[in-house]
Amino acid sequence: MTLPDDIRREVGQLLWAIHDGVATEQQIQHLEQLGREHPEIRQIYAQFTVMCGLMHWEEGQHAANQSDQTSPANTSNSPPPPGLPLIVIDPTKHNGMQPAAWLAPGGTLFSYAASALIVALGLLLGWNYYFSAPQQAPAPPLAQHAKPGKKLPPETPLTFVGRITGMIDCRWTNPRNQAIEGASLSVGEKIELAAGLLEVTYHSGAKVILEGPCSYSIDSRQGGYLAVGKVTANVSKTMEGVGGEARKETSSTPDRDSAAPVAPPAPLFAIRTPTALVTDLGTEFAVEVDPSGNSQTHVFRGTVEVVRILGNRPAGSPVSLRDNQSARVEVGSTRPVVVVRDESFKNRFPRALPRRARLVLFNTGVNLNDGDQDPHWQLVARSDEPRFEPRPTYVIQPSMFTLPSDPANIRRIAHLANERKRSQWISPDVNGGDLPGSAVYTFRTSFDLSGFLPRTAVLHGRFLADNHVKAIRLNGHELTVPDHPHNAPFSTWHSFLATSGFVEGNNLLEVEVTNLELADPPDAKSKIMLRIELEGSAVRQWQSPKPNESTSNPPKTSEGR
Amino acid sequence: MPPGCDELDEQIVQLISGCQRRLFLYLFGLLTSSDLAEEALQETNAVLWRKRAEFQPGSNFFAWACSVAYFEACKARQQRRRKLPSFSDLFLEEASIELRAAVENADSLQTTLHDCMDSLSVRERELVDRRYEHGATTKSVAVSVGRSVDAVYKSLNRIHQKLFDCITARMREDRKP
Repeated sequence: MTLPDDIRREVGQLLWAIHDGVATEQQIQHLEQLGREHPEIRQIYAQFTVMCGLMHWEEGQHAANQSDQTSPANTSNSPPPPGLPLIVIDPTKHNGMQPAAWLAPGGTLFSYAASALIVALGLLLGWNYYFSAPQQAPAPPLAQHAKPGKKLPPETPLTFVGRITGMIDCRWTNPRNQAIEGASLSVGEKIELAAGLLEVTYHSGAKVILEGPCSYSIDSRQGGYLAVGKVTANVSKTMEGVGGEARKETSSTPDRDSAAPVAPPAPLFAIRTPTALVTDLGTEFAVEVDPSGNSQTHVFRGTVEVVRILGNRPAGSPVSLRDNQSARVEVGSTRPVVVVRDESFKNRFPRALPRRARLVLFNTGVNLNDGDQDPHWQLVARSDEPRFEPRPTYVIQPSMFTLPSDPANIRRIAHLANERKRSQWISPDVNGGDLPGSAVYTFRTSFDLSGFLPRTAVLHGRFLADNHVKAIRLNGHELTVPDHPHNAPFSTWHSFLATSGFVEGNNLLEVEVTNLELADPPDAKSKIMLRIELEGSAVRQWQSPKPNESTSNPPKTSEGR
Repeated sequence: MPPGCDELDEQIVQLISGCQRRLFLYLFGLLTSSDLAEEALQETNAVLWRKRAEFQPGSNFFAWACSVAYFEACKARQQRRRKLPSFSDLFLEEASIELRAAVENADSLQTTLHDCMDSLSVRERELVDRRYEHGATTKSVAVSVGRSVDAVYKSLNRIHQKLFDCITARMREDRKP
């Protein structure tokens, strides 16, 4: 096929949308159009569809065979003799029903034919297995063989042991392997973070917080393998009880002759590293592995047991660590586990995911009096004044007007009334006077993200404008301005949202307001007024180790064993 | 029934049962829904049985079955118009020719599919397995694996493209002299 790659990709996406049942009318028409321009697309359609159909078919066979396996009628393991036809039926011997009715959906023959077909297929596949692998190994479940498209991996089926319960500013080593909060995790899954924090809660109740860069594999229902990076583990009280009960089981010396990878006894939560096995005995602890494989363990509270690993086996006696004790295990060293006292070590690990905090943002005119200068909002540009110098803005009262038919004592408010404690109208003219209608006026406010993670920031805003908001920019990045009328009413809020474009430190939010309508004469003048309310949040930065605090520079050793 | 019908009936039953998978795939291609394809397959079976006297022994049974299945698919499309992609009759007619050809190669396609499935990661295979469970939707898969519908949709899209590219490449290799 000579179809260009981009069209082929597009066709693939359209076909998946169709098969997933979410394709729109336009997408279908587009596919047809592409099919007219590139006849080979019809062939792709056919092959893609047959591929999907085969998976549906095999799943149906798989389900039928599974059901068949459990039915009493199929308890015999004897293979059918060669040459047995798939279906043996004699429609003329069925209750005097008309043949069409036998084969029709719901008819006796149809049901018989269908079940016979399924049974025969199952038997045939079983027979095939019987002759292809007769004696070497016990026969696996037939269903496994009846599902050749879904060949199971050699290991046991997926075992979900926990899920991702929190993520802060995560960046993935391989973006294709990224997961989302709430995702289930199974044994064997690897989490590789380039940066950020990720919390995993095991079904057992244990929680671990990974800090990128790190590589952590889910090892079992109660543990993991930390190849590099940092992990903090917090074992719940229920787990502590379990661990305590199981303590006696771990006191025996591990089998040195076993070539099997070191694994803790089942009830205990444990973190493996390239050089150590850290077994929880009811506690909160942290483990760090540097790129060389050196491991450092710190206990915040409770007790853990650390044992050196050499060549996948425990080497030496386990060492118990208690509150605020740390232990270091170095690659290639013949020394036993070294217990160190390093107070700074405990500050290098996040013990809980940091929470979102509210950003300090200022609504226009908030808590100011009529005529006050707004210290947080400035007019920074006017399109009709190239050398414009930033000027203050002032709180002004909504303007009043009367209609010719109004009684003398009636005055109507053109704008939504000010709310001093929430937000008020501001204008570059302290008297709310008229300004040139053809110009664009740029209002600006700033806010500080120092101490926050810019990637986690979210800003919600809403505005009222007389006359119209032309653009909203965050640090120069255009935000989507909601559709709104070019003129009154000046009492309906319009919302906007920023989820990206934030920077560390000072951030600038600019709002361009136009005056009058486009149809007005260029020399016309009018009031220019703006009212904005803002709300935002971000995650605070957590304490992260500096590069020179790596475990490759071990802290002072106060005790060696 | 005229004499000899029993023997002919047995042959018809064998022919019908022998082309169930190919008929299902053909119908699935026309209807893009496994449930509807199964329903249409049952209808097709019933029609094939009812009209078995029209079949001439020695002629191409599958070609005859496909013409019946095509008609049943058209009926299903009319009845379930709102639930199915609104392909034009012309597109489906042209696609049906390609479908016949693809379905005829279903055996080799299935073998290739199995090989290509082996190249998927455990996680990808799990997603595919879940998606093709009876009655499953992308939404139900997303709920079961605790991911967003959009993420699962994109993952499944990527996996299908990967499988299809793998199948296409291998079939191209096979066609080389």
